[in-house]
Amino acid sequence: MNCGEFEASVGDLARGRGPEESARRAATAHARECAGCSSRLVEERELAGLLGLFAASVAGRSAPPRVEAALLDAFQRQHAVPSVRRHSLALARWAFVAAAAVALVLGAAWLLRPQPVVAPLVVAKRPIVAPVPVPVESAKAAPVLQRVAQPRRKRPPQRQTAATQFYPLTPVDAGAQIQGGTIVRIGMPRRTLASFGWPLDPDDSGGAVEAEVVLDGDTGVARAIRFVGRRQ
Amino acid sequence: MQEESASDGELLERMVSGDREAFAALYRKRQAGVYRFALQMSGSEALAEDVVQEVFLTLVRAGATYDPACGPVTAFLYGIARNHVRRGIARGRYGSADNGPEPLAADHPENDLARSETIASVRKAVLALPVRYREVVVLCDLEELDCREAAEALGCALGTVKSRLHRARRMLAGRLLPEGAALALSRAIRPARCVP
Repeated sequence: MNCGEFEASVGDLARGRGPEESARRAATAHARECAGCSSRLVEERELAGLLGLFAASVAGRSAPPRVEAALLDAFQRQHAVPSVRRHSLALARWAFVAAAAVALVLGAAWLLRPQPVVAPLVVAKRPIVAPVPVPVESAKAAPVLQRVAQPRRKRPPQRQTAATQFYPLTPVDAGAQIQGGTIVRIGMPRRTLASFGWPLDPDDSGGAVEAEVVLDGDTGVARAIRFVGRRQ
Repeated sequence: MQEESASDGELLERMVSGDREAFAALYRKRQAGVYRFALQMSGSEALAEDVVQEVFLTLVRAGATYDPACGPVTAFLYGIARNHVRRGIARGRYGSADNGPEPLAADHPENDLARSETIASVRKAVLALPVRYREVVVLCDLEELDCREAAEALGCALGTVKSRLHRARRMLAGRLLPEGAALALSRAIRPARCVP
């Protein structure tokens, strides 16, 4: 063993621990031969003794009992909180399961509800006009014609109007009724009305009169007319 | 009875699952070492008390994070204690060498006085060491952990602990022993091999 190897093991040698028996014997033999290493071993033993004295001076020291009491309280609290949390989590889990079950039942009930019987939708090939009703005193009392179906026709904005009865424009049988057709709203010049023989105020011959004309569904011939005025 | 025979690892395992008695047993078994480590590192009883409290509170809160593969429970506890001590020292919470704990009473007053003076000087020398050297001296020479356990507690390599310990002892010898400084100096200039 050389001095470097001795130096590496002198601490453990002085404290009686560490190297194996053979290494210890070699270190001791080296210390006997080397004065420097011998004094180094003495020094290390002295230091170990001093440190041992210091360690012994605090050997009986420990934390005061109040620390243990505080820690045991903290432990109790720490392990009480998770149990409350576990309880809350279990409740939340059950609430979730219950809510899911209710949602499932409601969904199934909605899917299995009795469906209303829907008749097949029949689209008329042409607009159908209901039978011409009796002449009316006012629009409120009697809408003269009822549109049953008017596909893809943009309705004019509804206005409150007053209308006269329908007047036939073509000769018809006394008891016959118009069975179908299309109503078209037009603006008829007052002069044209005069040409039909309608009485007209000569001072008010300009402008147009709003009227509705029933066109024959098959031929498109105007079959009847009525005059419409806006209600004030 | 069961607590006394149980190992630290078993006690910790039971403690994590909520066994209060296991925690109490582990505390009673290990608190003194942690307290002394903090006291010898800082020289402050108040800091040592706080460190014990913090170490075991950390164990209560984060005991489940302990990994047996990383070392024994004692190394885990000393590792936590070391962090708290370092923090305390950094905040200036350390006692003076003259104001440390009283040594145990001796049979003879004159011996008691000499002994007290010796202990005070050792305490002063230990507290004067840089922290990284002080902690290896406290763990290995005062608390008698072996170098491997100290390395696990400090989170450094075994070789680092050994070299720090060697250097720390030389520093202490230079301060405590009359001829220590001269010897240390002579060692520094001496060749590695003995001259026949």
